[in-house]
Amino acid sequence: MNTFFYVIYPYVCLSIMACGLPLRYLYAPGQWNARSSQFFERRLLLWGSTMFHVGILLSLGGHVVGLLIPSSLFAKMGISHELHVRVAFVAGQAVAPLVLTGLGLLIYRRLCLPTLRCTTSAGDWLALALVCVAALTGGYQVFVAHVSAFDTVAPWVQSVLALSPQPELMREVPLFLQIHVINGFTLAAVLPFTRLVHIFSAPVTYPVAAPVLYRQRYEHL
Amino acid sequence: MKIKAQMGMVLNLDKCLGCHTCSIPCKNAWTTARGSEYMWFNHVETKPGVGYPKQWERRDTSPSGWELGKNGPVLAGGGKLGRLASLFGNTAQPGMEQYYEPWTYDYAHLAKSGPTRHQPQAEAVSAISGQPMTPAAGPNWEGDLAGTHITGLDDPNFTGLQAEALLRFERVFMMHLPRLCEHCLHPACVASCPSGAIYKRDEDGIVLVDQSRCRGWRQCVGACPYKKVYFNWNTHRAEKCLFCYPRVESSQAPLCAQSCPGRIRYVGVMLVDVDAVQQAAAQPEATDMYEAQMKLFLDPHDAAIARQAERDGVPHAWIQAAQRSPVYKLAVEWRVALPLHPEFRTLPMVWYIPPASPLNALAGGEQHETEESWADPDNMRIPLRYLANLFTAGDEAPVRRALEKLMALRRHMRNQRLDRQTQDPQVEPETGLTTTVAEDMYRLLAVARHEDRYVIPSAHREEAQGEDAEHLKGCTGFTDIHGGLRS
Repeated sequence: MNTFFYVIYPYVCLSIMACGLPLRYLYAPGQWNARSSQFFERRLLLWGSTMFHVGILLSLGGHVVGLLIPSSLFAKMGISHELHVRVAFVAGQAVAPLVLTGLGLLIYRRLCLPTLRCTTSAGDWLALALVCVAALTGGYQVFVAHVSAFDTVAPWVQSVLALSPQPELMREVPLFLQIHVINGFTLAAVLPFTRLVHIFSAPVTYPVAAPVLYRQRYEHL
Repeated sequence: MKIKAQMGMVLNLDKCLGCHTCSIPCKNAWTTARGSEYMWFNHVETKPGVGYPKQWERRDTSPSGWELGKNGPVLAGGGKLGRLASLFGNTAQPGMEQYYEPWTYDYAHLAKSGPTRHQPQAEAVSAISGQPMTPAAGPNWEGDLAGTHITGLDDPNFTGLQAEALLRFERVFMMHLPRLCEHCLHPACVASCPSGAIYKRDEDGIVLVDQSRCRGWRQCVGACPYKKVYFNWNTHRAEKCLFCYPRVESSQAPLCAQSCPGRIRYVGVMLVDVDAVQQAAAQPEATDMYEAQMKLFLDPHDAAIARQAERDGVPHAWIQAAQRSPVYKLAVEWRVALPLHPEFRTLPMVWYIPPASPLNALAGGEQHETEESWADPDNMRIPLRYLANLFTAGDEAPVRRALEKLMALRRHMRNQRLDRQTQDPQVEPETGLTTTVAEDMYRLLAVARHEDRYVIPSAHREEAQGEDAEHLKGCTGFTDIHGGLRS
């Protein structure tokens, strides 16, 4: 079991994402967007979506810093293990309410407005459910459990990325955190097939674009 | 100077009777699919009124179009960084309540209903959720003055006028305003698109949304001051008027123009100096925008201009079409067509001939129509200022000039028809109406043959870059078993 979830599963998920993204981009480029529902409801969305997105981007940054940078590097920089853990929890406690409140508002409007409910696809519900599981288990970690992941999850993630997975590191990890991790990889796997693809459409070139874009009729892009 | 060809349209509001025939083929061809039921690439509004979507002209509550910044025009409602910041929650996009909830009727019930005492009824149901609903708004909800005494008070074109007095029964006036995408020279929707999906076509200036590049950020929907880019809630992408480009490419008029029974529409090519567009959009005063845009239109009869255009890649047939362009004649040569809300600074390309209206017979009924008074623009039922607020950012002079010229033409034709000898051989030079101009104007405005109204050169596909027309010959139509083109 441990071997399946912490050796095989991550690579399956990451492979699906790596193959799925270009395939979808090539074969269904028209479906590649954020599936906005602001047309139906705007007030709750402006609050909910902004809070959720700012929170989730910050928490993504936190995950990158916490999981991918080895503890030894922090030690070299003079940051003690305790301080590192403290900073991680405080940052998490600051960001988690943003994510959870935003997500709550977004789910509320999606469930309660008939126009919105009937235009929500199965993929939307799936993405929403996975994001919910991630946010709830994450919130449980920063507010209640306070399990240090720097000796378990973080080195395991690094071992996965280094292509020499060490599943034994995950053996002592509590169940909720295991769910958080497995759920995270599942998110990566479904990402190419749901609205989540819009993550990869961040319009980074927009600030340098010409004010009026001209294109020729049969210009192939 | 860099010359490009630009498609333009002129609508003669003097002849528009508000029959909505233009909207029907447009709707049938482009916006019947799920998600686009509420969209009208072409619709006819009754003015005064708030229009569709509601309050589209109001820029104080929802900034759109361009405003004048320190170094030229900037997008109202946020520059590029501001727009990226509002990516998660777009404050400028109108919600469905500003358009209307599309509905259909439960026709199946008429057939399925068992024997009842009364006739079964087809209930209105939402086209989105299928739930029963009571329609409470539509694209022409205030058409033909329905409820205008209430909605008209919010019409921003009453600036400088007494809206309440003018909406009273004795004074009330109305006009029809068919609206479509303006295919602007300086489009705010194009500038606001973070994905670079909306573009202006090099060859004819038609503004299109690349559906495969649209990521549904919806910035264009709010940025367009005419609110003519729509968000499809089913495909989650932007859609807008295409100027019927598949028809235009083969020299056919757009469906709205083709179907107009009143023959009010004119379609033609203009030669535009695109290098001067940015500067033209940066006039210090909004009232200067009309004249600034006029300067962008180059005289296609000028040999030097024609040579330069050919050097810049405008096909010869297009230059010839520009020389015959009814849009050029009406807008530039005769100055009877005016742009819609030039103060938006988008340099729109759908222009309007202002409507003449009956003499304002108010106060005691002492005024009688005389030969002189019935043609006085200052005395017409539609206030000159109202038209000026619509077409020239409040400057009455160009509207007065246009109306005077149109009325002079009517006087001239009336004299001719009645075979009066009082007619001046120079017609009415003070209005700019000479004998030849009167003759030409009469032909274009009244006789208006199909080939004079729509001077549309066909697209030169053989010159398209990246395509070998010889190779493609015979390759379209059937696909092979692998789904690709036969080659």
